[in-house]
Amino acid sequence: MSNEEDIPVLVEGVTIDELRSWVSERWIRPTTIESVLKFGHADVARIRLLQALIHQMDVDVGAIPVILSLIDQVHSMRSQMRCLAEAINAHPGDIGDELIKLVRLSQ
Amino acid sequence: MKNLYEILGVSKDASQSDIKSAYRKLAKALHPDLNPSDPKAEARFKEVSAAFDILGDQDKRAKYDRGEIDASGQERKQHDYYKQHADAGGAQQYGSDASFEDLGDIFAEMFRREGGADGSFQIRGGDVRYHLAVDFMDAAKGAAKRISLPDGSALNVKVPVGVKDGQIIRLRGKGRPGRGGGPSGDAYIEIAVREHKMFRREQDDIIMDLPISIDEAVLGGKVEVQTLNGRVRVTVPKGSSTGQILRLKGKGVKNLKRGQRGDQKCILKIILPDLIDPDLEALMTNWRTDHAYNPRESI
Repeated sequence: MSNEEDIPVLVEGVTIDELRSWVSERWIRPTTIESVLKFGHADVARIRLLQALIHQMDVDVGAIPVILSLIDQVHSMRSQMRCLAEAINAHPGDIGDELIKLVRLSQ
Repeated sequence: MKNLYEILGVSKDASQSDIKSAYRKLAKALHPDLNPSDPKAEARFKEVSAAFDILGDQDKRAKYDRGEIDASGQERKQHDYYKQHADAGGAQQYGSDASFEDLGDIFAEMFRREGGADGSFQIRGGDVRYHLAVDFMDAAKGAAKRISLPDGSALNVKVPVGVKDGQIIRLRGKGRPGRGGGPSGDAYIEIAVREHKMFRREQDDIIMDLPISIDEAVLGGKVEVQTLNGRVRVTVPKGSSTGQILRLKGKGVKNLKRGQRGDQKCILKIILPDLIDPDLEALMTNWRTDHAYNPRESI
């Protein structure tokens, strides 16, 4: 877990003020431990993504909530799909191959 | 190796701002977090970023043009992408509020739309889990092992140096085969480390009880000690007591991350001879008359 002041060192090009604005927008949601903000690995990776979007790709800050919302939805979908694929794999019979056949027929 | 200008798709006489805007365009298309299920995009993004590291900097670009630095440049610092955390379930505070409870919807989606990157539906093979018991010494020093699988095949496992009890090793692509051209799953191998008759592990340190005789304890002396890599002679200091620790620096387990070895800690243990002969008895009786001491004073 990293503290607020560690972030500009970990992610080049991000200032404390900028980070605070991202947290207040709830684009970044650190954990609060004894009223101190703590940033986990996933938070830091997400900060790095925001930094890339805003400073390297020059994406308009106004578009960030739209992008984050879509990215979060994609990941939720991926996790659902993974559950489904695991369930299919865990099935003792060969329903996997059957499914593939059916899917290809309907495509 | 490709020319850096070709990688960014700009001409050799492009201005710095042309290069920057070409990079931005490619980054938007290829950034791994914007392409969570396309490993090819990630490889391309790395290439593009490395090219921009040189061409985006006027000095480095001039050096590259003069042939003073080559396209390989310096390796970029590797960072993990957000998608790795999201995929591993480590970013649940960002889970979408949108409801996917209606599984029927997802099924409908799966059956109608394209799934795999090339447009066909694929399923990644399942992951498999195995247990592997290894000897203490193999865990401390690393070893090559083979797991025989129920179907008669075998899986080669490289047990890393210093592996810990309960640690899980992942062998990418060694799980069940994918379906419809999907990739294979991974094999996860949980390591159980067998106990050693003499040694124990505490992180990178090796702990052992070292029995010493009563005369070695009082007078000191050299004793032979077994370590991971053979026997060494160590000095027991004069006046050593049970419970004192002799630390053999660098005789522990190698830590692959830090590149250093732990220590071996020998916990001294005074052992009396099996038979208390008349000589020892006389010696002690004599000694006790005017040197009696109470080791339990402090308790």
